[in-house]
Amino acid sequence: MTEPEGPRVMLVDDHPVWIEAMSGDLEAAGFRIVATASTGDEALRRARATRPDVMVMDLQIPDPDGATCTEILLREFPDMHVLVISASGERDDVLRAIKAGAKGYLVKSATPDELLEGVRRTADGDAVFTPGLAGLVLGEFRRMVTDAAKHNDEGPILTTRETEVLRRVAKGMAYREIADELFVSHRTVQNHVQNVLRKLQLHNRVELTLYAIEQGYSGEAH
Amino acid sequence: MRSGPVWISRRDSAASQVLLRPLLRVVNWLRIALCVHALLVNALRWHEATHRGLLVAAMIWMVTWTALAAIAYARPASRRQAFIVADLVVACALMGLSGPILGTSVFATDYLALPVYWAVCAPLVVAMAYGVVPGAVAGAVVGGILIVVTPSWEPALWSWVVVFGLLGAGIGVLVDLLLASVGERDRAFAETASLAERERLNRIVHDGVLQVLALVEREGPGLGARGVRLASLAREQESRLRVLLLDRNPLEAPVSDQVDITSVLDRHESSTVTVSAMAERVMVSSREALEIDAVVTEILANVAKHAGPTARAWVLLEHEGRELIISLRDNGVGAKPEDITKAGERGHIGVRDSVLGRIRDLGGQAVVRAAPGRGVDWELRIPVQ
Repeated sequence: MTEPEGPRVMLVDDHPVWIEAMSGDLEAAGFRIVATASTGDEALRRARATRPDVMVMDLQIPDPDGATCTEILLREFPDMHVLVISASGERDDVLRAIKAGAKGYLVKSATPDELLEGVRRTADGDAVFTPGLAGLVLGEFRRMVTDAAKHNDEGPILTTRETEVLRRVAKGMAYREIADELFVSHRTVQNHVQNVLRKLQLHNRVELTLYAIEQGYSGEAH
Repeated sequence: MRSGPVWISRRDSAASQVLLRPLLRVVNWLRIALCVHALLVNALRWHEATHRGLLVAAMIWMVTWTALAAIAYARPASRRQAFIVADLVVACALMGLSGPILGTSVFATDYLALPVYWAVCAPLVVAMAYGVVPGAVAGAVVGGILIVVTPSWEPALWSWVVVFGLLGAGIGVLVDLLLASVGERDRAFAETASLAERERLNRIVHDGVLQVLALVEREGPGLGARGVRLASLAREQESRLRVLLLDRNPLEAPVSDQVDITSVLDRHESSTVTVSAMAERVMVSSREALEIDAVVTEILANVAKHAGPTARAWVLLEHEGRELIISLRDNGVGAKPEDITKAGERGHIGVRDSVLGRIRDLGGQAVVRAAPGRGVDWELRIPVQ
C-alpha cells in the first residue's frame, strides 16, 4: 500500500462553507485533507489524533479560540506548521498565535491562489508574511526593546537589515522588489523574514519560561 | 410579619450589604461602649435606687441583649425584621422602667434613663435598614416613652425625644446618601458591562457576514463574468463593514482628550488600502489625531485620484521613542517628486498645504520619494508625548 503524496493538512474553521471551499482548492492542488474541525475542542482532539503536517487555523472559532489552540498544539507538537487565517483579524489574537509559533497569517479575503501559496510555503516551513503581520511584528519588537530598557535589560533587537526588510514588507513590497532595492537575493530577503519570526518565537519561549520560574518561586513562598 | 431578610428591596443589592456590614459593626461597638457607660452610671446611683433587685435584673438583661444583638447583626441570616422590632421593644421597655425602678427622687433629678444612651442603638439600626423617616420615628418613640411613663414637660425629659429623633434621622440621611452613591456606581458598572456584551454580540453577528462576503469574493471569479462582478461587490461591502466594525469613529465624540491613533488609521482600510500597525494602542491628543487623520485622508485621496485604477496603497504605523512614523506607499503610476511637493498643474494641489503644512504644525517632518512608474512613498515623522 502506498501513501498518497502531498503534505497532510488539517482545516479549522467554524463555517462549513469555508471548509468546503478551502478543502476543494487544496485537494485539487495535491494536498491531503486529513481532518477538519469547527470548534477549538474538536481542533485539539483531531489534531492530536491525526498529527497533520500543516494546520490552517481560523482565529474566530468557539472555545478555545484559534490563538489558544495554536499555543496548546505547538507546545505539544513543535514540528507542526500552523498558518493562521482570520476574517476580522484582531491584532492581539494574531500576535498571540504568531508568538506561539504560527508560521504566518493571511486574511480571509486573500485569493485562492494566495491561500494555496501560503499553505505551500507553510508546509515547507517558510514564513508567510503579509504587510499586516510585518507591521505587528515590527511593533512588537519595539515594545520588547522598550520594556527591556525599563528593566535595564537588553531585549531582542532586530538588525538594521532586518528592520529594513520588515518595513518594506509592511509597506506592501514583494520580496523580489525588496531584493532589488536592497541589492540582495530573493532568498536573502526570505531568510531575514524567517529569522525575525524565529527570534520573536524564541524570545517568547524564554519569557514564558522566566514567567513560569517566577510563578514557581512565588508559589513556594506562599 | 414578614420574616425574610430585613434589608428591603432597595437595600438588597450586594453592594448595600457590603456597605451596611461595617456600619452595623460600628453600631455593635457603640452598643457595647454605651452598655458599659450605663452600668457605671447606675452603679454610681445604686444606693438611691428604689428597687435594687429589679435594677440588677434590668442591667443583666441589658448586657445579655447587647451580646445577643452583637451576634444577631453580625450574621446576614439573623438580620431579620423580627429582631429589629425586638431590639426596639427592649430599648423602649428599659426606658419605660426608668421611673419605677429608680424611683422619682433619683430619676427626676436629672432624667437620666435606666439604659442611659444605650437605647439609641435600636433606632440607629432602624435608620440604617429603612432610611430617614423610620429612623426618626423610632428615635422619637424610644425617647418619647419617658414622657409617656412620667408625664412631665421638663426640658431634660423631652430633650430625649429631640436628640434620639434627630440621631435616627441623621443616620438615616447619611446611609441613604451612601446607598444612593453605591447604587449609582453599580448602575454605571452594569451599563458598561451591557455595552461590552452588545459589542461582543455585534462582533459575532458581523463576523458571520464578513465570512460569507469573503467567500463570495473568493468563489465569484470562478463563475464567469457575473461572478467577477459579484465578487467585486462583495469585496466593497466587506471593506465597508470592516470599517463600521472598527468601533465608532474615535474622532467624532472623543471620550477624553486622548485618542488611539491605530483605530483612527484602521478606518482608512479598504479593498485597496492595507493598514498595518502594532498590537497595542498608541494614545495621542485628539487635536493631533485629527490632523494626522486629515493628512492620511489627503494622501490616500491623491492615490485614488492620480495613481491609476489598479493602484493599491499601504499604511504603516510605527512608534519609535517619542516619534510616530507613518509610512504611506502606493504602487501606482508614480510621479516626479517635485510635481508632488510643488502645488501643481498636475492636480496635486492641496498636498503642499494639507500635508506639509499640517505636519510642520505638529512639529514633524514629511519626506516623499517618488519616481515615474514606481509609486509614491511618504514618510511622516511626528513627535508625540
